[in-house]
This record gives sequence, C-alpha cells and structure tokens, in this order.
Amino acid sequence: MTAYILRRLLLLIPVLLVVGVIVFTLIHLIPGDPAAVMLGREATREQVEALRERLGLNEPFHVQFFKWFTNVLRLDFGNSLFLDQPVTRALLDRVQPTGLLTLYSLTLAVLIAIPAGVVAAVRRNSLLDRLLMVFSISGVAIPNFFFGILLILLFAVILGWLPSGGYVDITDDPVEHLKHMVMPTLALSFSAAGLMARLVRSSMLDVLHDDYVRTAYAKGLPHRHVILRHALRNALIPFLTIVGISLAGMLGGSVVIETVFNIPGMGRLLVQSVTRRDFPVVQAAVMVVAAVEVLVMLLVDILYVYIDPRVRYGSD
Amino acid sequence: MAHHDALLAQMLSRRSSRRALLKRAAILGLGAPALAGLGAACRGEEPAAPSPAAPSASPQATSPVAGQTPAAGQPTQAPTSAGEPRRGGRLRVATTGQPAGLDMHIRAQRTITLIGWHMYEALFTFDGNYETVPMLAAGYEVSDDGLTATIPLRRGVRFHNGEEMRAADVVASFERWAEVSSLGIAISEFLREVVEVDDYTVEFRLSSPLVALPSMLARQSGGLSIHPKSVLDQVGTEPLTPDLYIGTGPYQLVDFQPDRFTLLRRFDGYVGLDSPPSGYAGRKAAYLDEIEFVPMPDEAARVAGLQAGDFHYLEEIIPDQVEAIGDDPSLNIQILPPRSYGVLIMNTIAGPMTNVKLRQAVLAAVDVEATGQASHGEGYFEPDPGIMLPQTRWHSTVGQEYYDQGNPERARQLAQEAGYDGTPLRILTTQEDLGDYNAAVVIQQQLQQAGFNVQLEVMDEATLDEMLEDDNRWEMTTNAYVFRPDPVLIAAFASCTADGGWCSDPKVEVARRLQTETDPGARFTAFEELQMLWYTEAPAVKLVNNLGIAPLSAKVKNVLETTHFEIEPEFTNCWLEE
Amino acid sequence: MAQTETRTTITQVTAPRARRFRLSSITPSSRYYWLRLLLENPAAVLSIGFIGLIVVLAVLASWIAPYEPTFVNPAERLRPPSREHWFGTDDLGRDVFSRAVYGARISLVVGLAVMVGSMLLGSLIGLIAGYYARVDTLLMRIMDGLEAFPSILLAIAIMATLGSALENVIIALSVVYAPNIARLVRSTTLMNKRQPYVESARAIGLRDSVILRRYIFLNSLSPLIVQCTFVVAFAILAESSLSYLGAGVPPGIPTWGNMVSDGQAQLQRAWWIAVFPGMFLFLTVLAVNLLGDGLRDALDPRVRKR
Repeated sequence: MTAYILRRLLLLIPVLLVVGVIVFTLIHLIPGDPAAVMLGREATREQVEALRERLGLNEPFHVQFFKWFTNVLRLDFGNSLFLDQPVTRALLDRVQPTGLLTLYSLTLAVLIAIPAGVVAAVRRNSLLDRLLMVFSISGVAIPNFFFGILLILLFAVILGWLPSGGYVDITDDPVEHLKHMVMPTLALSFSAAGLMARLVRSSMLDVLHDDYVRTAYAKGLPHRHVILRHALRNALIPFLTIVGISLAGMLGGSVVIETVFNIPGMGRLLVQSVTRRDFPVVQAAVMVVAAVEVLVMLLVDILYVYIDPRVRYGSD
Repeated sequence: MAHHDALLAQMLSRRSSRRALLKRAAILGLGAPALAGLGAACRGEEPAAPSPAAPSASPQATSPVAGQTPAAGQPTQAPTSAGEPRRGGRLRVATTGQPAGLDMHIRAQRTITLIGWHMYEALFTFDGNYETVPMLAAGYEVSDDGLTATIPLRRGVRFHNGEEMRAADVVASFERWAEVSSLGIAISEFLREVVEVDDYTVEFRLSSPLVALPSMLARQSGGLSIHPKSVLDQVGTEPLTPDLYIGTGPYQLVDFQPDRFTLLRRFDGYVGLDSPPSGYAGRKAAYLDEIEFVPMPDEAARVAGLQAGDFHYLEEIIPDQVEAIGDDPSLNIQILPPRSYGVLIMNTIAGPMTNVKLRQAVLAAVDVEATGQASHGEGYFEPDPGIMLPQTRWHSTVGQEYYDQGNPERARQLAQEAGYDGTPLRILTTQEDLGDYNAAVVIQQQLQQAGFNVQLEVMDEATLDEMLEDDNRWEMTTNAYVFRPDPVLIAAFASCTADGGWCSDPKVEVARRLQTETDPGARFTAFEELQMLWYTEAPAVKLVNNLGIAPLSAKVKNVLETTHFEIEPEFTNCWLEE
Repeated sequence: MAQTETRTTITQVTAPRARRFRLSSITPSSRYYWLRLLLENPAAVLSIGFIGLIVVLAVLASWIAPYEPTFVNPAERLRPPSREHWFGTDDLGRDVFSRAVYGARISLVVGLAVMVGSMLLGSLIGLIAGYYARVDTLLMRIMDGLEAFPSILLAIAIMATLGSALENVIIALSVVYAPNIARLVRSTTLMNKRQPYVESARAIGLRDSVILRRYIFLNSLSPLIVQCTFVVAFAILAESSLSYLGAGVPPGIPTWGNMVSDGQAQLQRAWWIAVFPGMFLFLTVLAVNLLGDGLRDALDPRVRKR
C-alpha cells in the first residue's frame, strides 16, 4: 500500500511537468503584453519597455521557462506582475473562499443526489423517477452563470433576503459568511447534484439486480433494510470516484461562479490573471489546481481499499 | 473664492455663462429637458427638436423611467434640502475592476483616478466651472516673458505619515511624475528646471511659455499627485507599494486587498481649504468614516448590488440598466453633463488610411445618431460637433458641416477619388467596453453600405493594446475621449504619438500655439483651427457625446451638489443618511 | 467544463460503464434490436423529435429567419416581442428570433464539430496508446496533464492565444474533450487487442492500420457514440460559458451561448434577449442528454436484460 501511494505520488511529477509546459507555452503565446496592461493605454512606449525589462519579459523564452520551472520545484512561484506581491501569498489569500465554496457545494450536492438517486432507482420508470431525472439533467443544461444571475434577481433584488454577492471571511462573521455563500453554493451544486443523482440511480439499478441483493430479499429482509444496507452501500463505491472528480471539477466551475458572485477566490484570480497577462499567477494557480486534482484522485483510490474489500493494490 | 482671483483672471478667457448655468442647473436638479434644451438653443439648433438628454420628456421614450431623470423623481436636490450633515458610516462603491495598485504617476486608469483622489491631492484642481484653481498650491504667478512660473504652497498641510508638505516634496513628486507619466513627459519638452525656492515655494523655469501649465499639473487621470519625498526616495520610478500610498487627502488607506476591497478611513490630520465646495475645489469635509471600493466586474451583479442596497455608488452603469431599474425610491440615478465622447480613430501612419481622401470618405459615411443609439441608448447621448465637451469654455461648432454626414453616396465618391480598391479595412475593438464595441458594429454596417470592405476584429483589451502598437495591424478602432477641461490635456491633440498618430505640419503648428499663446483669445482661435483641421484632415471621426450617469443610493446626500463626475466624483462633502 | 464539470460528467456517466460493454454481444442478428429498444423509450423519441426540429431550423435558417441575423438597426433596439419581432430585438436592434434560428445552425456546428474533433483526436491517441505499449505511458501522461489542467482555463488560454474565431472555439473545446475519449478508446483497445479475431488478423499479416481501423476501432464504436452525444451537449454549453468569460465565438456571430451570455447583463431590462436563446439551449442540451441516456440503455446489454 505504501509503495503504491509512493508510486502514485511520483507520478505527480511528470503530470505537473506536462501541465507546466502546456501552461507556460500557451500563456507566453498569448498576444498582449503584461507591462502594457499594467500601465494602461496612456502609457508611453518607453515606459512599457522599461517595465518589460524590469519584469524580465525580454529574456528568451527557454531561459524564462528554465528559471521558472527550477523555482517551482523549490515551491517558489515568483512575484505577481500585477498585484505586486508574491504569488504564494496571492494564492493563499484566495484558498479559503474557493475551498469553502467547493466544500459546501459538494456537501449539498451529495445530500441532494443520494436520496434523489435512490428514490429514482427504487421507483424506476415511475413519474417521480422521470421528473427527478429531467430535473437533474436540467442542472446540466442551464449555463451556470445564467442560473446565478436568476438567483441574484430572485433572492437579492426581488426578495431582498440575501446579499447580492461578495465574500465575508468565516472568522470575521460566520453568519454573514454563510449568508454570502448560500447562492453561490446553490449555483455551483445544481449541476453537480444532477450528475451525481443520475449516477447514484444507475449504480443502484445495477446492484439491485445483483445476486446478493436478490439473496437478501430471499432471506426475507425488509425492503428498507435491503435498500439502505446492501444496495446503497455497494452503489456508493463508484459514487466515490464521482465525488472525487466532482471536487476537482468544481474548482473549474468556481471560475464562473466566483465571477458572477464576486467572490475573491482562486477561480476568479485565474480568469483575471489571464486578462491581466499575469503569467506567474496563472502558471502557479494552474499548477496548484492540477496538483489538487491529482491528489484528490489518489485519495479516492486509497479510500476504495477501505470501502471495497475486493480491491487490493498489488503490482497493478 | 476671492483668493483664487489672480489665477482665475489669468486662466479665464471668455467665461461662458451658459456653460456655468448648464452645470449649475444639473447640480440643482433642474430637469434634464430644460438642460438639454438650453444646450441645443445655445448651439443654434432647433430648440424644439426632441432632446436626447431627456428620456422622460422625449416622445420616443416609452419605458417607465420618469422617476429616473433629475426632473421628476427628486424635485428638491438643492443643497439646502439635503438636511443636516451626518458624520459617520461607510460608503460602499462598486468598481469595474481591480486596479494594478494605486500609484497615479505610473498608472492612468479610471478606477485609480476614482480611488486615488480621495487619498492624494494635486497642486491645482478644477472648480465648479471647470476653471483651474489652486488646491495644495496657494496661488500661481508667471513672469512677463512667460518663462518663470512661481507656485507658492499652502502651509501646515500634513501627509498621512505626519510629515508637513514642503517644496521638496513637490519637487520630488514632479520629478518622478515627469519621468513616467505622459503628461509629465509633455511638460518636460518645455521645461528647463524645477527649483525649490524655499520651503513653501516652487519655481518652474521654462524654455518657452507654457500657458496650460496649471491645468497640466491639476487633478486628473494620471495627474501629478503630491507624495512625501521620503516615500518617493524609497521607490524611485518603481511602483509605490500599498504601505507607501501616502498623500495629503482627507482619506487615508487602511487596507488594500487586491480583488477584495480597498478601504479608506478619514484622515484626522487633514488640512484643507475653507472656501465652499465647488467641483473638485474648496472645502472637503470628510463626514464619512470610511469609504470602501469593491471590484465587481460583472455588470448585472453590480447593478443588482446597488438595488439590493449593498452598494451606494457604481463606478459605471450601462444606460440600459438605468431603464431596467425603474423608479426605485431607494435609488437616485442622475443624468449628468457628458463625460466622454466616442471616436473612430484612423491609422494615419501606415496602410490605406494614410490617404486623406479615404479618411474623408469614412467621415462622410458615418451617421453618428445610430452609433449613439447603439452604444448608449436613446436619451443618454447627444450629437455635437465640438471636440471639446460643451461644459468647457472651449466648446465650438466650427466644422459642423462635416459632422454627422451619414452620406453613403458622397462617401462612395470620395473613396473612388481616393482610388480605394476594395482593400479590406480592419476595425479593431474589444467587447470589454460595450459602448466602443456597439459603435464599431454599427460603423461597420454603415461603411459596408457605402461600399467599403470592412472587417470587424474583436479581441480582449490586452490584445487590442498590443495590436494598436503595431501600425500595420489595423486601419480603424473605436475609443472614447474622456472629459478634459483643456485641449492640451488630450493626448491626440497635443502630441503626435497618440493612437492613430495624427501628425501634420498644420496640426503641430496649431498645437504649439495652443500650448504657448498667452492671450486667451488667441488660444481659442488656435483651438478652433485645430477643430477645423480635425474635420478636414479627418484623423478620426467624432461620434456623440456620452452623457454621464451617477448611479447613487438615495441614502447618499449632498454629493451631486458638491462634486463633478467627469473626472470621477469625490465623496468628501457628502454623508450617508441613517 | 464551464458547467461545473464537463469532464466529470462525461467520465462519470460512462466510465464506470465502459468496461461493461460487451461489444461482441451486438451480433448481426440483433443489429437493429437496439434501435427498436430506443424507439420504445418515450423520452428518447421526444428527444429525437426535438433534435430533428432543431436540425430543420438550422438547415433552413435562411428561409425561416425573417431578418438578417447580423443586421443592425439601432432605432429598433430593445423592442419587446411583437408581431414584427417574435422574440424582440437586442441592444443593437437585431432580431432575436432570426439570431436564435441562425444560432441553431452555429451552435449545432460547434457541438458536432467539437464532437468530431475530439473523437478523431481522442480516438487516434487512444488507439495508439492502447495498441502500442511503448508509447502508452508517454501519451497517457500527456493526457493526464491535459485532464489535470482546469479545463475552462485550458480553453480560455487556447482562445486567448489563437484569437476569437469560430474555428478556434472548436479547436479549443476539441482539445479539452479529447483526453476523455482517448481514455475510453484506450481501454476498449486494450480489451479488444487480446480478442481472438485480432490475434488471427495479425496472424494473417494484416497491417496494423487495417487492424486498428477495422477490428479495434469499429468495436469501440458503441460506447463512443454514447460518449459523443454528451460531448455535443457539453460543447454547446461550454461555448456559452466561454462567451461569458469573454473568450468565445466572435460576438457578432449568433450562437445560443453568446446570445445568453450577452443577454444576461440586460436580463432586467430586456429579458427576451437571453431567455429565448436560453430556452433553445436548455431544451437542446436536455434532449441530447436524454437521447444519450436512451442510447446507452439500448446499447448496454446489461440494461437490456432487464
């Protein structure tokens, strides 16, 4: 087991190298000059040139890449061009909003998806099943920025129950913090909940026809007991993978949701850093998100061992 | 304002009572219809024409916006009605984005201008009539040959770090600014040296007269903010860091969190003027405890935040949103005098547009009314041939026969004379500025109807800026020239290096006269010649004046009465109602 | 992708199932059996009907649309739905109905082209990785890297690099979805290459390219088809989120996605700009998903047994 984990951790390096090469190449190919963005349109060419020189943007591409990557290996991501602060600090400042938003959304999605999926599977082909499934696909079919704006209009403008956007630190004021997070959480979890519910349904359907479930029924165990103890437990094994992928995927969804609700998180930082041509921040944030994704998947695989006794990690 | 008289006498050429009235009318909350009618009448247009500035009164506006204009909803916006000032509270402002730091010398950008002038002050500023008056300076004297400008400073003014402001600070600030800002570089061409005469006097020694010097040193976007020498010595021409954002203004920085907020708090040691508030001049009574600026890039969310009471002011609002809000009694949305005008800039350096005839053809093809409707919506723009906005004393209608021709046949003929062979003409634009983008779409269609082969290239702002640097990558682009009280402050007029690179011998000669002539009448003549050149050489097409909009919460009192909005408002004499 | 997790979705809906496909079980005798199963599913039939309608709209757009979709008429801007403008007009006075009809064409083109693009790219990589063990690790590590990259950002970065154009949106989204397809095809290839008929094909000296094409790829098709329906749906949606973040199709070209994203700022003033194309988008994505579910049920022998 330890060997397996170590091997998987080692695999992180080539993945990050690939991510690093892609992000570095892409962002340096993008037209647009970070120095010019920082100085604004009224800046003179001399000013822009001086700033480029200072930021080290005039060095050859491969020199810049080499410098950057060797620093990254030492966990030094350099300085943000735009924010005038170390990238590490800029990222750390934004971990809490994104982390908590993802956590809340994931929890909400799971809380919705499991009952909905189980009910739909048990009542397969009933009206309830069909309604639940159409509803869950709806979550995927509405662009989430649009859903977000609808929520704002309803809860903030018309009803006035919730703040329209922004973020309050959880340590400053937990109640206000939660109030600010309600709508973003709803918006981010809607599509994930739908997807999860569909998956719970289909894996429930699979196990409901498996032998041990039939055996359980044959033994005369009550319906409820069979569903919850035997079927659901087994159906949740593939579900775990999905939770893992969803967690990683929500980091992507937060890019849009954080823009709509004006949450100062990693997602918004990423998008803004692309428009600002803030190369070091984009590179670092992408590397971090990629590493988190890989680690989450590793965690999921390890959890399998504990949940599903059939899985053993040998030489693969 | 008696003590400003010396300066006023010098700066003031022919004070336009109409424009003074125009501005005051807006401040007092007179109806926009009255206002616009006045403007139209004075420009010699038919007063009966439906006024674009009056959505509530104009027959074509059917939407229920009556309460939105200054006219109907709040009949009593006079200063006396604002009630007793209340001290305290935090004003929350939603900005369009996060500025890259608050170093005004290095970065000229709208949001920085908005935040920065609460913390910093300039030697001069603009009063209610857009005249240049002293702020940190105590006056302004020029020698008879025009080559020595003496600026005495106010005494006892404190920086946020407790130091007293002295001539050495002004000289240090100027020297840094002159090196890095475009205005400063422009001044440098006329400057021999800046000298600290004593602790409270600074002298500018010039190589030729520069009559617009006080205006160039005044409060504006990318203007000369005064910082302590001790701070500037630490950074040189590098950007200031947040712990060094120190000025003399009535508010000081307490927290700068990029992408989250910028928080300012009242500076108790502020030493200001006693004269009544007027535009950006006079007393700055800091009633508010704190001002918070929050970056909100999403337009719809920003407006929702104002409606929900989360914000008291928005840096920007799309005019269409004003109509959408309806008459919400908790809001106070005011239509103000124009704060910018749209332009279609042509590349006069390289490519087909170097041909004057072809540029004239484009000028002939454009119908500005449609561009205004598309980019700002009925009621929020006004056609006007003047290349200086009407609230300044520079406004002129010279060359109006070339303005707003909307004449595709003539355009076709001129293009033929120019030998236009159907080469594709590229209009570059960005959707990040919706007004510029919409104008470009409309112009593309108008030019196509006049027989031009036009390609619209839409890109993000950073890419656009880089493309515009390369003279071979574009033929036209849309932009807006923001309000400036003096023509020499507009880079495209004063220099040859602005976008499009308009530079002809007559233009250079006229611009020079505009900068150096001491006689106000002669300066105005030079300006009118410049405006005529603008229409005959056609380096760009002037579109329409874009009216300003102040999206305010009704809780904010006494702000419209005490500040301008053209170069961003200052929340220094206003207060928040409970 | 922009939807919380495009990739998530794709993997989750099919990945756990991929190994269950027994392609050999689709014998010639049951060749059209799946079709009959599909047509017995009312949701799938409705979806096919709706998609058919959209395809007709897309093909006949120039006959159906009463106005030029790009014709700008500022004097007529922001008009509510009326007899002249069924869906009203937008902020440039363009007819929303005409744009929505043309939008069907371009949104479908985006969806289908991304599907084809990611399928070609993904299948090629998947086949090679699965068949030639030597390059497997290298290729799959690159795919890992691409997948670990936050997908919306990958698309934004590609768009920023290539510039705003329809082709570039298609390229960007194809690259984003390709790793998924590659993984799927690789796993079916690994499975198929040990099948006796592949062994015998190799024994009689057929070239690799022929074996890959005829024996392996064709047998991977049915899980791939299901996957593809989801790619279509997600591409249409993702294009919308890209437009919202300012990295989509050039704004003049009507797609449902950029109509919704442009219209959302005007939602309070002129709801019709975003809501009508939004309905098209919503119903089409819904239909494509339901069709995908139906196809999967019909093609999956395990479900069939029930």
